[in-house]
Amino acid sequence: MKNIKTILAIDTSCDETSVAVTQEDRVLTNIIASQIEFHKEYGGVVPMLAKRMHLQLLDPAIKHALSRSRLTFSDLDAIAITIGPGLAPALEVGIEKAKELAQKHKLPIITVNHLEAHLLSSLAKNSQGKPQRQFLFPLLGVLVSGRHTELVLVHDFGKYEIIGQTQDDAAGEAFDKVARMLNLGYPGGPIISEFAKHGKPIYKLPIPMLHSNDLNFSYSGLKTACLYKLKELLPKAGKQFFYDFSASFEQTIVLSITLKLDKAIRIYKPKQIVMGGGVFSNLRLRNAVRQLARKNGLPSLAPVSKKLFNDNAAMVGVCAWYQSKRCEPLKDITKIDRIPQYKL
Amino acid sequence: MQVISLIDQNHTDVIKLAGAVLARGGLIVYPTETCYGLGADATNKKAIDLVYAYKGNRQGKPISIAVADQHMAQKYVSINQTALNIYKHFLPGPVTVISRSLSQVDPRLESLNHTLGIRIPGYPFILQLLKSFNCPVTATSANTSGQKNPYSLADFKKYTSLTKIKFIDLFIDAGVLPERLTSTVVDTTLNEPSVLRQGEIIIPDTPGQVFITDSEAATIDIAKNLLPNLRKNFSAKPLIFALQGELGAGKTRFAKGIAQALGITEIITSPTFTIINEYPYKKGKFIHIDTWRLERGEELSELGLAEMLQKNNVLVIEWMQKVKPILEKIAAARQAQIIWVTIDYLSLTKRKIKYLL
Repeated sequence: MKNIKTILAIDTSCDETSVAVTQEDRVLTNIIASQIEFHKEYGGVVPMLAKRMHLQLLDPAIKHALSRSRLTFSDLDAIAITIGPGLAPALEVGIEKAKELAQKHKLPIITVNHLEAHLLSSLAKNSQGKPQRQFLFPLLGVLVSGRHTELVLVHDFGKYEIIGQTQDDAAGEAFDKVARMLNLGYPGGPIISEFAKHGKPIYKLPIPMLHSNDLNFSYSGLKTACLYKLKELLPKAGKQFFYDFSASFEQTIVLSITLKLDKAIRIYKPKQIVMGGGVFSNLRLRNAVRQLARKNGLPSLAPVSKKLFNDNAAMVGVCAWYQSKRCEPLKDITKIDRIPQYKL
Repeated sequence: MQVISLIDQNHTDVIKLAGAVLARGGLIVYPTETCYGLGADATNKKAIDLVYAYKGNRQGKPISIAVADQHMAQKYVSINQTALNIYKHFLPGPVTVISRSLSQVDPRLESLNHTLGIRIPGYPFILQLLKSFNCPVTATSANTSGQKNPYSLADFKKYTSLTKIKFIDLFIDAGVLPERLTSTVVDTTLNEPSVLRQGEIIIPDTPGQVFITDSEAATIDIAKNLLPNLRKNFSAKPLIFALQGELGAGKTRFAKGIAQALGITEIITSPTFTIINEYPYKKGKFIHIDTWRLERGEELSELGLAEMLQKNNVLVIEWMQKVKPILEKIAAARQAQIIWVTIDYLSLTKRKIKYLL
């Protein structure tokens, strides 16, 4: 069996249509359709749903990814596809496309778990193979995004153990919902982070799961607490209130994560902390996790570029390459199916 | 490219000069409270051609427009409650507010969903210029695609090729700007209060179907006890629990209770981001849906609502207000039973839960 090196990776697990070309752990191109926005050129105006169904954007994104990396299908060794977790009809579109291309170009398919891809996103390097990075096992992975809030103990590649997770909302979702309560538009995460820079955390909000003994997270109580605080304070709010409330909320989220992470470090004594997921675009969270790692004498890793934090296909390609080193690709590709609640 | 230094005494002259360049479809580089911006008349096709040719490699990517004030913005976008809130509190300032476009500018500046970004720069001179020009001007950083955002004329010259510099007619030099990040972009078109209130159903208080719960656990229990009774009455019919209630009211708690009653041991987390979560159970599927991020209710039928209504399947739909009309139609066609549920806040911990068949 030929060594797998060059991979075309596709991720259609939710809103973003993303296609990447990777070579081992190096990213040649990482196309996120909503950011490149070819729709006008290719498909005219695309309603939200069509975007979610990835129908118009997938083909042009594939074409674009290959041409930007100056490769053709004959240069590829495999196709990598996210099969879950995610939105079932959206996942299906990507899977069908992967099967079609695999058959046409006689390529093997590597199926990828979106969560594992986030976990490995810190290992993705640029096209020159920089920066040098490696995992030190056992390590503790922290995944925080719009749909995940998880602590994962990683014994080795492919050996994952979830030791803490959200019982209801994800941390990123809490950002969006509280932004909605503040009437700040969508998505709320970036704007709350921006406003928080100008504010002081003077409003007391309950730190979720502070007194629980496990490593789980929960954000529904915080949501309710915010709603009640805002019912009282929002009618007379001025600019500074928005800044201060954003700072208070952001600090509460950061604490909810670092407190559990601290506990997890003491229990499991990992050799490294690894971050992944869109909420790590928030600098304050990233710095807090880094600081905590340093305090415990541990190195920490976060993805090298902002694109790698959010949903993207490059991490899927890199993850697939690591998978290919430990197991053979699937023999019968017709059996590949989406797994909306795919577990690590 | 003409460079003119902006000093306190020459504002009127520079405004006149820049206005003339913009009016004939030329490009200017202007200072803002973030980095230097590239300005062109947003309503002039030729000028916008130049902007895209200059920026390079961003065919089809939308570009925000700068206006002088909210009054001017209203000519180009429809401003809803959320947008109004942001205009009121944060503009002028480094926030780009996305609203529905009224199609008054070059269509390339709009996004795929017909939305348009509005910027009111927190830079008094530019506001004067915009007021005097009385037409929106593009608000995009002055660098070409892939290059560093310029904060000074030196930056600009360093990172822009000579060929590209020739595109620019006028550079308004206000010295070295403080290195503040580019503006934060907010979309105000999703989840307007008006959308979420549409078609709300009112359930009268009748004894036997109103419950007061005083903890999250109690909300779970109500749902858990409700399901077996309904199953008795409706045997294998697909069931839809259509939930309404404010953010944080306990809709996901209710879903947890239903899942427990079905013997599902997995943790039921919020489907807000993925929209649909599905969990198999002994006899069928438990499908947990959240319409919060859907733009239109009809999207749910395109995501396969009809196919979900199989025998023994149980659906819980959060924010049913958005999908009520299609829900009733599809449920009738598939002979599914809808249970309308509202969860209201009574206090921080107390909730009132009502249901109606």
